[in-house]
Amino acid sequence: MRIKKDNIELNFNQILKYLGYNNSSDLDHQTKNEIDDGLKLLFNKAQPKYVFKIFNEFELSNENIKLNSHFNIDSKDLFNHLKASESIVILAVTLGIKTDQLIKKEMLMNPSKGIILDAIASEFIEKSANEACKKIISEIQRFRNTRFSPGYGDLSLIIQEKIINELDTERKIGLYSNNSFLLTPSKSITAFFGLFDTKQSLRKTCKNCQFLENCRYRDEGVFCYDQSMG
Amino acid sequence: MINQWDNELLIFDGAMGTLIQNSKPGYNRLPELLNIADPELITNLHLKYIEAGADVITTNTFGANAYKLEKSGYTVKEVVQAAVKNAKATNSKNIALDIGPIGKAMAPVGDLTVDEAYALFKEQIIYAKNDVDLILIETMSSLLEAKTAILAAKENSDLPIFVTMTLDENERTLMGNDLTTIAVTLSALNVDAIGLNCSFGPKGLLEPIKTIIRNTNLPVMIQPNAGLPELIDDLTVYNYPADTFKEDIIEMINLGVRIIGGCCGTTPEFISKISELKGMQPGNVEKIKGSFVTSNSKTLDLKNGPLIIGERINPTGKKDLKDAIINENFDYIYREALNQVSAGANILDVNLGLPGINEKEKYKKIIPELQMITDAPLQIDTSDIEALEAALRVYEGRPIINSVSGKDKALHKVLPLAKKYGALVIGLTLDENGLPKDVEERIRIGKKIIETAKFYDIAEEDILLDCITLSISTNPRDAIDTLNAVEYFKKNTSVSTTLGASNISFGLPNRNLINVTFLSMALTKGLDAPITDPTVKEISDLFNAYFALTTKDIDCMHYIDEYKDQNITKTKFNEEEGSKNDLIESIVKGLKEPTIHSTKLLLDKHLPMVIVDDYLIKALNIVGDQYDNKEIFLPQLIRSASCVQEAFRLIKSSLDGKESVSKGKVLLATVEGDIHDIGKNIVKVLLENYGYQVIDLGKDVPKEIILEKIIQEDIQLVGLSALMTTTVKNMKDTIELINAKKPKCKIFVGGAVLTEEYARSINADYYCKDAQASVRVTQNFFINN
Repeated sequence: MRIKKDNIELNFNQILKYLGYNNSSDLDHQTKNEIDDGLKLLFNKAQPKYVFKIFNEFELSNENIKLNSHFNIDSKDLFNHLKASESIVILAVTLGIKTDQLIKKEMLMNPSKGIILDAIASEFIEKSANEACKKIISEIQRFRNTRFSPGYGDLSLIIQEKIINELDTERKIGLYSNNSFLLTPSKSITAFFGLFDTKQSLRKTCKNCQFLENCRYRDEGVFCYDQSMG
Repeated sequence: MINQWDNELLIFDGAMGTLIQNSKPGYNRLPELLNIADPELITNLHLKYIEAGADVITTNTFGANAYKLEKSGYTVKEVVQAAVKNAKATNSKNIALDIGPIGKAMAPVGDLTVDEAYALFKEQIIYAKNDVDLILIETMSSLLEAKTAILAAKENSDLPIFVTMTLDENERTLMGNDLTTIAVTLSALNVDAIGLNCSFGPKGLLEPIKTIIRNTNLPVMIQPNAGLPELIDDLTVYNYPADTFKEDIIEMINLGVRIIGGCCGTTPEFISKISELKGMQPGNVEKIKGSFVTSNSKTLDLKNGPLIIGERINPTGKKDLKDAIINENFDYIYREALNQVSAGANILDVNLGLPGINEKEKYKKIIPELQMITDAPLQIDTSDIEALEAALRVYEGRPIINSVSGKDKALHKVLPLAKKYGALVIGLTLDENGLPKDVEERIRIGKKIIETAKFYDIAEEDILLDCITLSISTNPRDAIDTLNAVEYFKKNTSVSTTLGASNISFGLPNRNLINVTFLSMALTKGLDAPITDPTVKEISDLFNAYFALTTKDIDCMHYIDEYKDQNITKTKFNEEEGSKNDLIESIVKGLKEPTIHSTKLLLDKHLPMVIVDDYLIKALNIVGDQYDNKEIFLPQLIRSASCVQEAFRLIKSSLDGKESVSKGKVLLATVEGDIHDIGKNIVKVLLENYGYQVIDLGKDVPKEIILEKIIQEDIQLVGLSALMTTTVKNMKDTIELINAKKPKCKIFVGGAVLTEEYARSINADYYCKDAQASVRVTQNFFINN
């Protein structure tokens, strides 16, 4: 399914964070122009798409989640994240191959614009994923908790292949995983989240991050992620 | 078999999935495994479709490839043979082997190479070929994957081949292939029928199928879904009425579609309805005329030219490009490609020919990457037959082969390849007697090429003739003879004409003037595809004027836009030149044009190495300090580095190979399993600007390849990057291997996941927290070594 680009609002400060700025006051004129150009370009060319599946029946036991007869996940952290939910959603979102091509092209011809485009695309996919979540829950009138992706905590990347198969992402949105379980096109997100009948916190947390003990952002008192929505 | 159904409809079956879901609710293993687990069920489902009127049944082998079957516990042989057996049990005379996509993205988007995909398709085919009547390649989202499957089918069987692709909502495949390109490319590959399947319901495929029909002479096939699916309680449901489906199909048959089946959501009822249409006459289709060349996402018609073929990717006389090819600094080539396209090139000639290099391997790497960054069709320029075939196999679309001469031996080697891979081919009008002496010889040899091509079933529209441009300084009549030959062929045949125009002025002063005048003359004679350099101002000026004069540039809009500000730009330029003479200031401020200008001025006064050390490096050090002090940030750092890159380019081209600016060689790679390379690329840009030669192995590089390169190039300093905890282990293993085999080699590491302690624990020699640190480490290393 396509995501309406009009509904997506990017957080400018978050893009700056990806580029290494901690303060928008450090921004120089030319970089601001290049960011504006990049925003125009990407909004024009990228078409975010998503696909999802809702599991109303599943088994939880011993830090294991069994979604159906061949989709079994062993992960203590995912288990904890989903154990109280009434339904489980698997989501896959991508900006598509065109975005990767644009970034590649820009990196070749104009590396400063290339890294800016890359940063914008990272923010774009995050907000696209949020918008997809919003659409899903609004249609079924429920609440969700935060997104939990392969790579978080102890949720192994190997699960990507299962997600790809379960959601038929290759055929539906052109999303694949490669030999190293990395998603391609590169600006893509797969995630689990739970559905509830009561409102849940959507604040992201550092709790499950591998860099918790060793994070340059935390050392400086800031966050790597957009605190507004998970 | 398709001939039996000349002018009649051919009905295929509908979906297996829906029927399986209904017969075995809750079954969620691979449907192909039911061939073994429940053969009777599959045979019965086939029979249902035959009863409904299907002429052809497709085996239950859509995903029966080694990749998808890997964890199933069954081999491709077991599944395919069981599937075929189940189909044969129906006594049907027309069984199609069903081949769907492998399930991985083709390189360079993913990591499935053409060779790997070929092997996976071949495997399915060999176990079925003796027992089926045709091969159906369907639901393809990648034209390259479809082509590879077609080659596997052609080279491992004699069966008819039907190919259908699946579309996204924007009427392209998910990989970006457009309809015209699909139709042109697949038709050129000489399959037996082409078309579309899946995607959407019949209404959504109506417009797309028109485009396919318009662009092919082959029978056209359609297998739509039963409308668009709905998700009801975890189940995918199709609610489209079979009667409406039938009405939609009638419309398509009137357009000329001859082969019809059903995809997702269709059932025997749908096939039954369509079978009621047997006896209907498919609409008449207009034959296509044109000389189409394609990339993977664009089709150009040489009959609608002139089309500019950019000649710059050719190492002859270009030291930079030679080095780039030898050192595998392919970014240089990609930039040349993009520059030419910006300057107006419609098609790009790609020549990688150098003595002693493995041309074949270079093509296999470069062509897919080029096709990723530009949608300009490519022209494969080589005299190495093996390299040519390798390039043709990895090319996604319909390329041009440059070239074949009029020599018998050459014709019989190259033309069969052109036919097999569906490529257009340039014929050079020279033969065993050497270069043509006059118009008559050019015409004679050109005719010979056309005749021989006909023997291989290659039409005149698929040929370009190059009537050879020699220099008027050695052959005075050459321009006249060549142009008369062009005129002859344009008037009397349907071939296209091309010329490598720059040769005409060889040996004369003011070459550009002769070149553009010759080009103008040739264009008026009907030259379709000049091979030239559009980045040369005089050449692009010529084309701007030509397009305005021939109404191709409507209302001269482009022309006016190009030249209206000319006076203003000139003045502005001179001002800047005056006030911003300082190279260092230009670099620090990240200003490209002033950097280029200042560098040019300095090159007249100073030695290159002096400019590098006293200006470029100084500027970079200032920028580096500003970055460390958080006065500037990454985009600014990169911008300054890009300026230095421009300055370096100018300096290198002024050196003529007498000297080298290299201060040392560094190898960079992102380790195996990791595809994050932005950080590494930034390090590369900086190191190159500081004067180091960087050998970049790219991303996801196995440790053995890294070691091989270290030994081959005698590398002393290596930079490794990894961005993920899962790949840091690969970094550790890589370092271990290097330390074991090349202990003197030093290693620096970087990447968000690393810390100083971790770097130490895996025996890295240096830890670099950012790109600047990598530069400092490199500088210190080479000073001390």
